[in-house]
Amino acid sequence: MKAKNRRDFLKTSVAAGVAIAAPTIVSSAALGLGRAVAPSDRIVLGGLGIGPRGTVDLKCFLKNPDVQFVAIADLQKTRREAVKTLVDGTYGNTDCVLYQDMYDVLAREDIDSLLIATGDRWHTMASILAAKAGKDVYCEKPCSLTIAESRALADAYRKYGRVYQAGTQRRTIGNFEFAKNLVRDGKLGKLHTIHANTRPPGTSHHWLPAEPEPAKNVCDWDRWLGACPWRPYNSAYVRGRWRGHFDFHGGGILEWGSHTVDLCQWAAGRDATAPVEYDPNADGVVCTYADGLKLVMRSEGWMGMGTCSVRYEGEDGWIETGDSGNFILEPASLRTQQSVFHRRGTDPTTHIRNFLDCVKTRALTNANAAVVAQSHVVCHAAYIAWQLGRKLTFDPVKEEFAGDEEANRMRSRAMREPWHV
Amino acid sequence: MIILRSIVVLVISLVLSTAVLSQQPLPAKGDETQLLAILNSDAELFNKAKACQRLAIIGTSKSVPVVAKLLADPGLSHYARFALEANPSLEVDKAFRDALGKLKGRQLIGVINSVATRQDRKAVAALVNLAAGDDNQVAAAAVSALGTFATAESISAVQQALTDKPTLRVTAADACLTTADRLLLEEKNAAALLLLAALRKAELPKHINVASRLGEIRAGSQNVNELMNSYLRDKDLDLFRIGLELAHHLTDAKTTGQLLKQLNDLPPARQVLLMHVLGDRGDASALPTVVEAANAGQINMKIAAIRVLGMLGDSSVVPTLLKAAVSDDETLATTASDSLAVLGGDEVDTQLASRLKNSDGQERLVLVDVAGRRGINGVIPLLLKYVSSEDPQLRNSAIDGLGMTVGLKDFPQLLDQMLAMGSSPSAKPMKEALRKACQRMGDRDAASKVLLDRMTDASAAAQTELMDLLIYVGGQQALAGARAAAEGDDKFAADAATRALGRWLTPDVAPLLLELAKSGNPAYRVRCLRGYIRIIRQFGLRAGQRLQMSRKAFAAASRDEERKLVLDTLTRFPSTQGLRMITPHLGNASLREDASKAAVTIGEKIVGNDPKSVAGAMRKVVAATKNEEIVKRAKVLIARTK
Repeated sequence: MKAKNRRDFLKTSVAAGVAIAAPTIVSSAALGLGRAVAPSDRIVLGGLGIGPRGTVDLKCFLKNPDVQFVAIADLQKTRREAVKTLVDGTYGNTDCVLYQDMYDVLAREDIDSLLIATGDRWHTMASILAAKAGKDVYCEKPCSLTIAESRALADAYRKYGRVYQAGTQRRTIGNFEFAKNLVRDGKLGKLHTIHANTRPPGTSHHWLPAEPEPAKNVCDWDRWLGACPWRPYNSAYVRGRWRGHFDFHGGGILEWGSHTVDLCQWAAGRDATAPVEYDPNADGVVCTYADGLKLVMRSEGWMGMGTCSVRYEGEDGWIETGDSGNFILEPASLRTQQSVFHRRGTDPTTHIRNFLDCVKTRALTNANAAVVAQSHVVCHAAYIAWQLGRKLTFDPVKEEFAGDEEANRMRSRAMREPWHV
Repeated sequence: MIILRSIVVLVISLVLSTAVLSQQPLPAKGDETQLLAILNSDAELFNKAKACQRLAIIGTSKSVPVVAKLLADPGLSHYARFALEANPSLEVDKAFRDALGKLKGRQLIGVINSVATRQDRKAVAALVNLAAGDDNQVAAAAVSALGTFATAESISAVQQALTDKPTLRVTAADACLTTADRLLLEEKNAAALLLLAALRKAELPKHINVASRLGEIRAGSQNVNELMNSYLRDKDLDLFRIGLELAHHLTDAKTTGQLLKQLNDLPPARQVLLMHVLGDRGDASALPTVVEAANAGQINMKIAAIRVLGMLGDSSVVPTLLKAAVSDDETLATTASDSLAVLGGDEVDTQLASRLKNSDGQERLVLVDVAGRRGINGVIPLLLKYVSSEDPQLRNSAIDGLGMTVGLKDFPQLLDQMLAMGSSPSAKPMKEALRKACQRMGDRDAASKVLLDRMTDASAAAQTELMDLLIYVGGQQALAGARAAAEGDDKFAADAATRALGRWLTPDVAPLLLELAKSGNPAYRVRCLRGYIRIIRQFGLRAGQRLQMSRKAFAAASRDEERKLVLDTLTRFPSTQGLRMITPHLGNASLREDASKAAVTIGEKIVGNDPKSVAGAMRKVVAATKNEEIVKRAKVLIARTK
């Protein structure tokens, strides 16, 4: 009998998602929206680590009448108190419960779902702990910092059968879906090159100067670090300057590629695979799929359609679009098919609604763990090639680089004790 | 002596990297010998940490004894595992196994986790012992680790933990699920089933029971359809949800029949959820039941069914949807309109167009809205007629619909209507509709001609409107037309054209803007230059191109306002070349402060890559600026480069 590998299961779930997925742009009257909902029928939501981006998400959740946000856990006192102010202000009560330790939220049996918007270093770990605690999860991107974490995430959600939606909301935004449909419907002809807008890839290995650690109830530094290597405390990290540091951040390819590479994989129908070749340059990486399709990750040379742009080129035409909602496409005859989109790519409203619908109906979300794990693997593989500064060959099934031990060693990072996934 | 010198050099290079924001791709420099020398020295923690992180990539068996010594060091134990866990040498496994017998507490837990990651089967016996030990946290780590192995010995130990140790029960259950998942991946379904069935029967939190049931289904335990039916009937919400999940995954028509049979027997709230699942499944054989629910169900069920009709239906459901779309219930009506907008089938457009001819009141409003959203060309004459309606709601809805339907043929008429509206209340929606139409014009050149032909003899306000629409048509003909107007004698046209060029949607306008900024109508040179700078600031140009354009913009500027804008633009895309472009202006009295601020801003971002250039520039800034805050920032930068 042919051995069944991880990818066979992945294929099953992705294929099922494609076959049965509801229209990704949900209507305003989708499940529960627009009508009063009895408290007993509401999705009880908690939050882990909600900062600036998490607040954008939270405000969208709070607009849904079938959601009741009840508790926030955050290591930072100021942040958890800000969330309480927002939530209590919305509901006109003082019910939102504050926790410092996420395990207190995980232990609450009344909480169905979690919004996770911690720093990147915690995304995989918190999402897996949430699955193990029986919660459905909406987690900000990126979903992982390594190839190994990506796979652990997908494995956990397969094992526990929970609903997971990555905060890659562009999968549920009109102009990006329109562009994907042009590709899928063959309007651009045979696809030959797809382009993902990434940021300059580099990260830093330095440490900021040591400062005295604050009291644990102000910010628990050991827990803030989580599975990352220990380094001395510096307040800049907890204020958001963890970005750009290798131990906490996957670099510019992952930063935007978690959106744009994901969009490219989606448009090209590659949700269950990855490119086989990664050729780095100063600005990014040029990748090639097994059938010759090129995926170009680059930060420069875009046409001004907004942040997180993508461009799909086929033999008969091309389209470029981005967060502005606008797009440019050729041949001009394709323009007659377009709609006008007013929702910016940064707006998570419809994506969050897709998550809530799936929590209720147990359908696969638009950005479920299997597909985003795969697109993150692509970003990580590209970043490894960029760090090593050489062309790499990759086996998407085994998730191994061919003949490059150094690259293979970079697929995971040992986690600081006691953490593991 | 040579080795000592190389350690000093390496440590200095590492220390330097603590002080500057390095973009060095890998954690540390040096070969294995140099890195091990650091670990054997009194180097600071940072240097040892980075050496370990580098050894994770290049370390061989040679590094194992040196690094393994650090496993017991609380400050370096994790860094040691960082170096060892990725190292494929078998010596590493041996070192970890040795450490399992010696370490305690957190360091021991770390090694247990590393053993699991490396899948060292020779360590299973030791893990079994640790799982039975008194330290609960160590035992939990060992049980979790054992879950990853899926050997007879590990499975037995995990099952024992499940039954014998209440404090480890949930951890052991997770380990069982991990083992079962691995067995399923290896197609050892019978073994997985045994494990999962035992887990399902154990007293555990509900979600683990659910996970074990899902695992059993994956393993092919029973007739899945029977299971689905039974779960859908179950009072337990978690089991009902498994039923819904199965209903999504079983895509055959037989399953649809079973789901339809179940539908009426479920409580109302569950009926609604199952109705949505029927929509997700996309099987049109459910249509008669869905139509029935849409016509006769209670309100929440009706709303769900109306939504599903949009997914499964065809032209036959148009009357049902239209009826719902004029309902007093706002949610039902909105859902129905949305469904009509996405309903598939060849006859739908024809039927909707035909209904529109004979409709009035609310139904007409719905049909106008839906026809627009569907882009039904056949309704254009009616929509054009409604544009003159006295009913403002119908008028605006028709205008909106035209934006999504009108083509080149009717474009001139609509355009003339817009121009004739002047500043009437309908002018705004009409202009919005035309903007949408312009975005959709397939023949850009012809659409441009329609607009440009109307420039002659048009009022100043009309010329502005026409040029504004030209932006959304875009393309070479549009650009050529705008250029002609900008360079022409008609001052109103030139004004409108230069405004439009400044807001052009594509960067191909840049050369024209620069040309007009340098030698065009003097009245509009500043505007054109600002438009050119906008292109540099807003569009994702290539780095070299952006710098070149910034130089050209600076050279073309006749006022300090625009020069300052260029300086600020350079800070958005920091580079050494940009810094070099700024420094000559530190001596210019009118630009000195802006140049100083820009230089410091860039310096802060590139100091890691080019400390030498930054140091030189910052010394000039300190000498030039009167702003104490900028001086302070410049001095910090200078210090960071030392």
